[in-house]
Amino acid sequence: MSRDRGAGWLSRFLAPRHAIAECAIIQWHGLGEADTPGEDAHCRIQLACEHGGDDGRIVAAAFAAFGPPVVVACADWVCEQVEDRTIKDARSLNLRAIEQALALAAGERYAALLVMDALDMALARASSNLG
Amino acid sequence: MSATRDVRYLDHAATTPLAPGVFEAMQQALLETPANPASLHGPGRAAAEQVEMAADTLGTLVNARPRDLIWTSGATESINLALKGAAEFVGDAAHLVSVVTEHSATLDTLAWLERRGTRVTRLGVDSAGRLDLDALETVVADGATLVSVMHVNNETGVIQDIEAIGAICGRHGALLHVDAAQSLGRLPIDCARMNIALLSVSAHKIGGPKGIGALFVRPRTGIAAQVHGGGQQRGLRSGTLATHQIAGFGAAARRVAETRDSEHQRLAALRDRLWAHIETLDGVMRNGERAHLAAPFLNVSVADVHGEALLVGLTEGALALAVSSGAACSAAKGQSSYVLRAMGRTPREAGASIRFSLGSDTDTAAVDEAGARFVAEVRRLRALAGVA
Repeated sequence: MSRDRGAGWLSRFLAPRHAIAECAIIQWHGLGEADTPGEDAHCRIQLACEHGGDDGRIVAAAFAAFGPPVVVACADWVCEQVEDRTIKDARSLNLRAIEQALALAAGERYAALLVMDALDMALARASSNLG
Repeated sequence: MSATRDVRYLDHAATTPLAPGVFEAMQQALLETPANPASLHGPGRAAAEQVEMAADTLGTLVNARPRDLIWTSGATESINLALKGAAEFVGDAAHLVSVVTEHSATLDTLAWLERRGTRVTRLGVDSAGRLDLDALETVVADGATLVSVMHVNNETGVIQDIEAIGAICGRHGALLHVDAAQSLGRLPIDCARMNIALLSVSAHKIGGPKGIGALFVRPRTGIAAQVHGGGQQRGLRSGTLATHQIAGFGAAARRVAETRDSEHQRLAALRDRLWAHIETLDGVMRNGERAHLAAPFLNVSVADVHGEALLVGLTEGALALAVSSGAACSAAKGQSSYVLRAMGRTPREAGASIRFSLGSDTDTAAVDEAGARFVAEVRRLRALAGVA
């Protein structure tokens, strides 16, 4: 853990807005999970969508995350970014966008990868569930 | 200790705020006795008197003769001098015995010596963090030169039975070095009764300034100097004495000598109060057995929470807790506390552990706020992780 904690993600870790525990949505259409054993981290992302297929709109995204603070922050940021976008649009989100938005250090990039893996799975499932 | 954020300082094992009277003693030494205490003229003698007064106070606190104290930069240097000095003095036949839960000042010095050919034996601890005295006696009887044990563990607060260890060393002719960085001013220390040959202490753990410590060296204990120069302090540690630092150490030692027993009781009660808050959570474990813990320490492992997230969550935010973790990095990478793992905790348990260490400025309100904040943070992180 760096002594110079990332200002880019610290506030988001302390007050995330997209935790599943805080979310009132009952029916989710896509769930994706990923692990990073080397960092002892786990992330789950859930999506609620309108309409089917890749044009379906994501009306809510939420996460559950166990791991270092940067994992929580990345998961929260990704959920924020995909809400109100179509599944197709959400697929365009990439690692670099997360790294830049949260000013991730090289040693923190695993968190972005972990969250993107979970998101990709959730998007695929949401698309097929509603297709 | 912070002027800019609302912080509850519960990290007195790391360092303590200056005790009342310490700053004034240091200022007085700087302004009124600025000469070199090794000088033979009047101003030099005045500075030397400051040093002698501090040595008298510290010597009384640990039942040692003032002239047997060697001033150092802190406990780390004292430990280096004790271990390297003893090993060098004995030579090839040296056999040093210690414990796996020692501070890195000891473990790293032993590793350094081992790479240069010194025989080193490291003993384990039980689930309470205590050394097995029978195992120690077996090893010491086999021909140990020196046994090095910390009185109070810096992560857990576990107390080792120094008097019994001293007796074992006495029966088999081994020297006993005690790292008393965490016990000075917190527990009674009697170098004579405990058969201590070498004792390492630091001022900043008892309300003194950083950068000053001492090594007690019992008469006729063979150690070789590690810092060479002007031959000060009987040649064992050369260099001009820092009069103001030593005066500050003396003032702090005077203060803890007056308050130690009452503070022990007060802090033990506050520590138990803090635990009463925390134990309302499921999945929390107190590390060490209450009967063998120094009063200021509470070390807790938490299930279903990542260690780094817990430490950052507690130390940041609106009400921040200044607390420590043995190692709040990745349990999976083997970076969790080696002390707790030696006590049988899993890597994840050892990774998600927090050390609270209370001190003179800790009160009931601080403990209640810290307890509530800890419980809330653990619940928040478990909710974020999707753990009910």
